[in-house]
Amino acid sequence: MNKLSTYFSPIIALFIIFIIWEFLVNLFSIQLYILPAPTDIFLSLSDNLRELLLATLNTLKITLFAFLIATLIAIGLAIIFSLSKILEISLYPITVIFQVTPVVAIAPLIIIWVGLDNAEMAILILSVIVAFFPVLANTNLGFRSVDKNLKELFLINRASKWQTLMKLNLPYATPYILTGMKTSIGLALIGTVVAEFVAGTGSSAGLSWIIIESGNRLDIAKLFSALILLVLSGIFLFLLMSTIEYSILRRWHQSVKENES
Amino acid sequence: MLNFSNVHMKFDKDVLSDINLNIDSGEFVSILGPSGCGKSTLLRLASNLAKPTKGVVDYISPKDLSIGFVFQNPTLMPWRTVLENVTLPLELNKKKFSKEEALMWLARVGLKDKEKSYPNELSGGQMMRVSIARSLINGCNLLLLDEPFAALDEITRRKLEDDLLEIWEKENLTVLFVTHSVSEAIYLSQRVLVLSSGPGKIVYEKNISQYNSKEEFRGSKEFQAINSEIFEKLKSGVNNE
Repeated sequence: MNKLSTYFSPIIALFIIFIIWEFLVNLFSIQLYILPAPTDIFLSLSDNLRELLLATLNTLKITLFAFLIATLIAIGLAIIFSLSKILEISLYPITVIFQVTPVVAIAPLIIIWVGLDNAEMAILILSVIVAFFPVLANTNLGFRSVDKNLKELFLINRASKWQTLMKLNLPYATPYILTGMKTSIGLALIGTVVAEFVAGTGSSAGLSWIIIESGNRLDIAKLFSALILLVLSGIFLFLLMSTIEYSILRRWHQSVKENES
Repeated sequence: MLNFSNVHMKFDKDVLSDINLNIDSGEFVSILGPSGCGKSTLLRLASNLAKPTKGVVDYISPKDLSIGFVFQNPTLMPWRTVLENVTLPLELNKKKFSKEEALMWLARVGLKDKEKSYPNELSGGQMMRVSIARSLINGCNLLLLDEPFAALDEITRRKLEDDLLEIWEKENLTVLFVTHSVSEAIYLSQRVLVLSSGPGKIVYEKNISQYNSKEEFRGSKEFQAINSEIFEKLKSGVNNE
């Protein structure tokens, strides 16, 4: 398999699925409000492009913002845990609560707390809650995996806690942190979309609102357009994180080196 | 330089027992022993990484003491270049340093022009050379090595042994070298100590007379005789278990 076919095979496969889909919809004369043909979806996409793109940008904006906040909180917590064993064993189990509670279950609470007219803030908080755990868990694992001999080397050289954190623990945990961030960025998008569903429109109109609205009006072609943009957003975010990961680990990490050879 | 008096070390069970050892400044001492006899623990005590359960480890002139430690694995930081790995101890001690100084050390261990490489671009022998340069850059006078050449092929190993001897002579280092290779210990050191296992005790001590040519020494009958003698002691140390 060469590189070109790895990239193009899925695109060609998708194209063939679209052709079969188009053919079947026409063959069985399926109604537009049940399953539109791909051409109908693309027509709807171009008709509503401005509205759809604005909604996508809105959703992406909150997702990225939530992702950044979640990452900072998670790394911060992991650092605190690495410095204090007692804080780690007391607080880490509590953070698991956020991980195991479905976001829709806590959404009403958050919305009430920040106020119904503050929907955007509620969505942001909910998305942060969904996204922060993978970074925390992976950073924590990274800190705990630091090579024993390297730690001894720092001890022999009488390194301060700050030096050990900045020059050893954080760089050592970087591949772990990036893995957590790759999971998190997808979760942040899911969190944002789910929270948008629960919070309603408020001041912002994200992709969820378009999905709800077109569903109610049986405008299934528009609903599909919004879904396509949602999928593309997810792929964009994943590629963004993969690119960042590649550029950071390119020179030294085995995972990247092996993929290249 | 370094003195162990009545040192005992106990983790779950006794690891070292009744260690009395004095290492003079500028001496090259090797420690031989079966696996798990506490050789590495002895080095950790010497480097202050661990405190003995009983007894005292002290240094003759602690003020000027600077310890270099070479681990069994090169223990390099993969995200740093060769140069950045070597300068780490200077950074940690907040010493001002010039790039030239670090480059000089790299040249000393035979790694000229490799300063921009990353560890994963080096061979096992080259990584060990970086590790040695890093242990020396801080003006080290007590060098502790924990089976540093165990994973290397014979040719690389002999080359590194000779380079280590050259550095030891030039820098006037005190060296404590842990190994499980009898011939390596005899070839390198002025004095060889044999530890028994469970708990580790010094069961034998041998001073090695110095030849003008080390190569000649390795081929000599005397070398063979010492080798057999120490090997027997090592074997009986294991049997004592």
